[in-house]
Amino acid sequence: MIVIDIAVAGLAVAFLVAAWRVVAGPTPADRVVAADLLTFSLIGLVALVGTRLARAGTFDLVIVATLVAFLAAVSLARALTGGHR
Amino acid sequence: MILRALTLPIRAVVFLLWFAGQVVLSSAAVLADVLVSGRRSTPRVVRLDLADAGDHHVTALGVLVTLTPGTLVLGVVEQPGGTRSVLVHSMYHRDETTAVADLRDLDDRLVRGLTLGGRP
Amino acid sequence: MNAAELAGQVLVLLGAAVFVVAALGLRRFRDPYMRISAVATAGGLGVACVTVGAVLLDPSVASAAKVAVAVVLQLLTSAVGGIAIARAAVGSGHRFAPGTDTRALDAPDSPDGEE
Repeated sequence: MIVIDIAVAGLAVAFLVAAWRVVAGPTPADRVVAADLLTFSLIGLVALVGTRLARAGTFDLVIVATLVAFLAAVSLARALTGGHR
Repeated sequence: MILRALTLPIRAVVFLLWFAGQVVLSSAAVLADVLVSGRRSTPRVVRLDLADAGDHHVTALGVLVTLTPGTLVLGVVEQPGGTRSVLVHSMYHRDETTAVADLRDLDDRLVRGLTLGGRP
Repeated sequence: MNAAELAGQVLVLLGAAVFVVAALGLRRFRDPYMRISAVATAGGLGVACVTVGAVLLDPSVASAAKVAVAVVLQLLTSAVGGIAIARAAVGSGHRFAPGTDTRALDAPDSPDGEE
């Protein structure tokens, strides 16, 4: 399915740009928000590759990844303020 | 009240369709900026007063504002009198007045579309 | 090709495009707040488009139910996560890009952007 391959390429670009921004910063908030996009593109990649390979359980994985991404975002936001709310 | 309950599904669908349209419209501004330079925005922080809105109301509004391309909620402030306002970061509104007017419109439609009783 | 498959292909490509735009925003925008705005929006809408598109390419009732749950969760959590990051960024003193009108933040009843 060529369409899925193109979409995977698009998400891979987003993933790489996010990874670059995590390294490049410059501020901690930039790194945190880049990590957020990193997890989102990973969720998209899981959905696409799972569909491409016709794997059962793909969307269970997507649901779990969504919740993990949320926990990660909230924890990183907490880390930004040094643990204060 | 019964009529409000019966029309809720229709009003909710109409509101969600309108919101989807708004997302498409405002994504045009973001696209026009990002594809060129990413430096064309006119960022500002505006304050939308919500009187004594409840937690659900503020959360729903915050989620919708943040999902709209170009706007982001920065936080909720509580005034001494118990009234609340949300602080919104807007990137593509001409000025503060249009930004607040757009947010107020979204809030009005949210209340009309998704509640049984309307504004308390 | 049937209608569901066509819609699935369009949505998958649209979702990928949303991600690419978010990546461009992350690359080009000038301050963390604009980047958070781009990522929180794209995270919700991009993942929603991609997963709904993916399930339309290989439809089944069980997958559709899971995708419905995943999309609602993703729209809520990406927005709330974005707000949490933005609030933390304000609270930890991250600067806005020069030219940002932040007078609303300095009002007397919002002590240094806290809460």
